[in-house]
Amino acid sequence: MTTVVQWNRSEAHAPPTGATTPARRARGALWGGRAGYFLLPAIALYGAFMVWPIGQTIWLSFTNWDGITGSPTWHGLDNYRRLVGDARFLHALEHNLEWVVGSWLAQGLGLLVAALLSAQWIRGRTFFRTVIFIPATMSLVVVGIVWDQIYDPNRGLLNTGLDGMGLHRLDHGWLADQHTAMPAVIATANWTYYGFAMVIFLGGLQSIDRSLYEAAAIDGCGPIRQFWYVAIPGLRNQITLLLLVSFINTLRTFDLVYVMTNGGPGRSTEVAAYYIYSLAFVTQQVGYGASVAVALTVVVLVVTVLFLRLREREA
Amino acid sequence: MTSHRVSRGASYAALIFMTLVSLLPLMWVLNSSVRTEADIDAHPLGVTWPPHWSNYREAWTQARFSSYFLNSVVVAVATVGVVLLCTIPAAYAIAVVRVRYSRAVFYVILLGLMIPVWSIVIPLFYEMRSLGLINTRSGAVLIEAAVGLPFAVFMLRAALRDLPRDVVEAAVIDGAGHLRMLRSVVVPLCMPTIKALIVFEFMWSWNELVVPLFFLQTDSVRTLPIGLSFFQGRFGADPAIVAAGTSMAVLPVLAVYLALNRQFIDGITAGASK
Repeated sequence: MTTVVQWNRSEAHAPPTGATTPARRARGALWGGRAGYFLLPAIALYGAFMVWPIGQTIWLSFTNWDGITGSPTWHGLDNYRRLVGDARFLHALEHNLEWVVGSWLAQGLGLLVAALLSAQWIRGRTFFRTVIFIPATMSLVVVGIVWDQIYDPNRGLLNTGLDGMGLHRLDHGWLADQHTAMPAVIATANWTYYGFAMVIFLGGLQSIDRSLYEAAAIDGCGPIRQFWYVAIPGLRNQITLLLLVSFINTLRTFDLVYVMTNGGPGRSTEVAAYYIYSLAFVTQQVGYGASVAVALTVVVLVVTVLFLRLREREA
Repeated sequence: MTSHRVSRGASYAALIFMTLVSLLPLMWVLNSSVRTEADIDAHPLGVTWPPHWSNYREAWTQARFSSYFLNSVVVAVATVGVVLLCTIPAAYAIAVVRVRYSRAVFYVILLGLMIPVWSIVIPLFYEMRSLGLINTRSGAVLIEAAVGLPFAVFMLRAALRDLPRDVVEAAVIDGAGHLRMLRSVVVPLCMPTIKALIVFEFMWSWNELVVPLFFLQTDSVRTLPIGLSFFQGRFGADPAIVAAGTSMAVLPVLAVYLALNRQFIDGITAGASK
């Protein structure tokens, strides 16, 4: 690890001209750092299918176009003016935020499972870990279809299960009711989230020095206080990482809504990505859809930068 | 002592509960896939005996699952190939050779980890249509590879940065050229990371919805997830066939995951610590 730091330093502090000795050069960059063509395939692919389209999206966001006739016409800031007062967009973002907060439940569940699994006396650790991670490997389309059937009012697992327990009163058209649709979709998403959180936290817990727990035990801490005062601070990196990843993924989430509810009933489950989809590809407002996409991207980037700043300051 | 036993019991109970929550939906679908619609309607949680295997035959032939399946395999394998071919040399140039400006390139590529696919899909859709790459598997492969590229560059660069510098320098002194270095030093020493990447990129491509939704719109090129969502609309009335189709989409991934479980978990843990 220290050597890596040194190389970086020698690079950063290298005098701008002349004074770089060949020896130092060789330590920082091999062959004088000439092999640019190795970067070309990646740059070409990334440039053509990421950078260029992003530029195009930004340009489209200043235009008006139905995507079918003629070509985009320049509209200046009109789309963005519309966006600021667009209640439907804000409403969609609110749903994204509910989703973010809802996903914390899965992170907590993942932490709990990881904590149980890292107890020294536990048997079948690999079995539990392997099985509990399975939902996280599944395609969201598959998950959406499966849970759509689970929520089915007549033959779904949930309602028949409730009936079996004599709880007929709780039977429900879970995805058809404005009030339960969003929680039902978020619960489905959480089903795919907790496995990932568990694995991340397990990795973190394994790297915590055992002697810290012993020291806490000697100081009279029980298992719960040991967890709170030793494990939680030791997991700070994992916690910020999970919060960041889940935030980014949740802001751009689309698949479950597309498969399960199409944003309905009403617009009660419409998220930002679904709004972009319906603008650009259903109601043919390509220019405005592009401006919503730009806004979403900016939100994601700002959140990421804030998170990383915070993380650096704490470290 | 008894409180000790109680807390251990509670721990196991919680773990078994989570295991059931994770497995039950899957078991239920697998069970429904070998039943008939009438049985499911009459007893949603029951078992049909003997199993009604013909649902699979119907899904495979009438619902064109054979072609969805093949398309998914082709697209996922090609995506993994393109990603590795582009990122291994790139990560080598960034982390080992330290080509000029490669740091800047690295950070620009890293930004791609944050970019929502929605900020590229709209213009790409019209562009691919005019290039004639829409409804072709190669078009979808190129886009999925570009989307999967930042993560691969990130992981490989981190792995290469941790390579013992002495080994690399010794190879240079022995007169190894770039290709030799890639083949004999970089690739063998990065094999664990490369294996993890193969698993991840394959799975992402296999599970991807948005790219095929826009770029693979005809039935002959549809991949499993997108085919499945159409299939659900078309066969929505028969939950047994939907369940059979769903099982077909799940089982291969499940098999890969169970077989490569170790690489999988290690890959995630390694990715998180970087």
